Amino acid sequence: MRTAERLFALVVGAVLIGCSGSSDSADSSKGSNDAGEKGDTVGTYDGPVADAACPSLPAAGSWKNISPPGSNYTTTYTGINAVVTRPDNPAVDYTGADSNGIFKSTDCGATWALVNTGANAAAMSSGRPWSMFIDPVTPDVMYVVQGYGASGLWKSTNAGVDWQQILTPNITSAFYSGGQITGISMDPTDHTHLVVESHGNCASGHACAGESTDSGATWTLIDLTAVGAWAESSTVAIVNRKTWLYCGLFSGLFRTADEGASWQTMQDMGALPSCNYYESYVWQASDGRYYVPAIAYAGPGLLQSPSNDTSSWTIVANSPQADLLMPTEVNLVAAKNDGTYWTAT
Amino acid sequence: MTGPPAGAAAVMGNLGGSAEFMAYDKPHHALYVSTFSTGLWQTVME
Repeated sequence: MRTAERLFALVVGAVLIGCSGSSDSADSSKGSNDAGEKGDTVGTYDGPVADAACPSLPAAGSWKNISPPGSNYTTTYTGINAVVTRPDNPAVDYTGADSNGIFKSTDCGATWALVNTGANAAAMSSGRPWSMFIDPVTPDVMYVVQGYGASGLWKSTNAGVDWQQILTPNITSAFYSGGQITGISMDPTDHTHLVVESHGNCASGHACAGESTDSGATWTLIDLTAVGAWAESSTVAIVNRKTWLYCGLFSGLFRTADEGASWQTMQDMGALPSCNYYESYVWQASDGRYYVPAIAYAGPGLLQSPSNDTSSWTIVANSPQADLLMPTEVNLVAAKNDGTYWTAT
Repeated sequence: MTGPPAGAAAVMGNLGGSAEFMAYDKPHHALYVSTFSTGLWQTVME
């Protein structure tokens, strides 16, 4: 898949829907097109945060290679994949390496150890961990996929040691290759609400997704015929319970306001975007606007919505074609697909 | 933080491969970027 099979170099996406900012503002907005039904629980971590030391951070502005020893990133096809940090202890990081497993650091990447040493250890070192999530409310709960390895969605409830496949037969029988997944999306308003997409056409002959509203205990098959045929790196980004986005490689941005039952294409940007990512990178700024990084056919690529309303989008002038977006406390960082970076304050 | 009206190319260098995933550790101001071919990288945001 990926590099060799694409015209563009890729940039992808991970965690943090944590980066999608305040979910309450979306749900509390009166008259908003995004005033969707909120889940029964919350989507962000609000407990204590450990103050662990980071012994060997690089100097500000310089880069340090902190790849786990043995991760074989120079020899495997996709090298290092997803990277996530624990919300209750950000010094704890996880990263997935192609066919090498899940590595954990407790000191901000200074040292690493293979963590998938328990149940289904071999399965968890079988593929490309190109989508990984830590449950923001219960951080010992993790989800990961093994692209082109063991099919299914894998869940750990003990911080990555033991893993179980949690897709139900109605999903594995419909998804490509028994449950190969493109990406995981977690609802920023409800951590029990998950959506995953099939990494290939489904048994129906087109794209499909699976939705769970109980942390993966049960799943509903979602037909995605309206967004076109399956395409690489095309994923759902959950805005709230009812409202989702779908950004397709070369097919554009779509929106559903009824939990995937119907989809509308967002065609008012002059050029349809392509989104290259394996996880949703949608971010809500403090003024309520949503941002989605994308690769447009021409020109800038950062998409912007009105405040608390994802029913229309415009392209931000002078923004980059990129598909990774990360807010820090002082700026917004976008990773471009040429290996360089763009920031805005 | 409100969204950007415009941005500029950052002086953040080039890791020799396109970024595939990013994560941010706010307490330590640490930005993590993974690439397929050049590994996992870390920087501290100023």
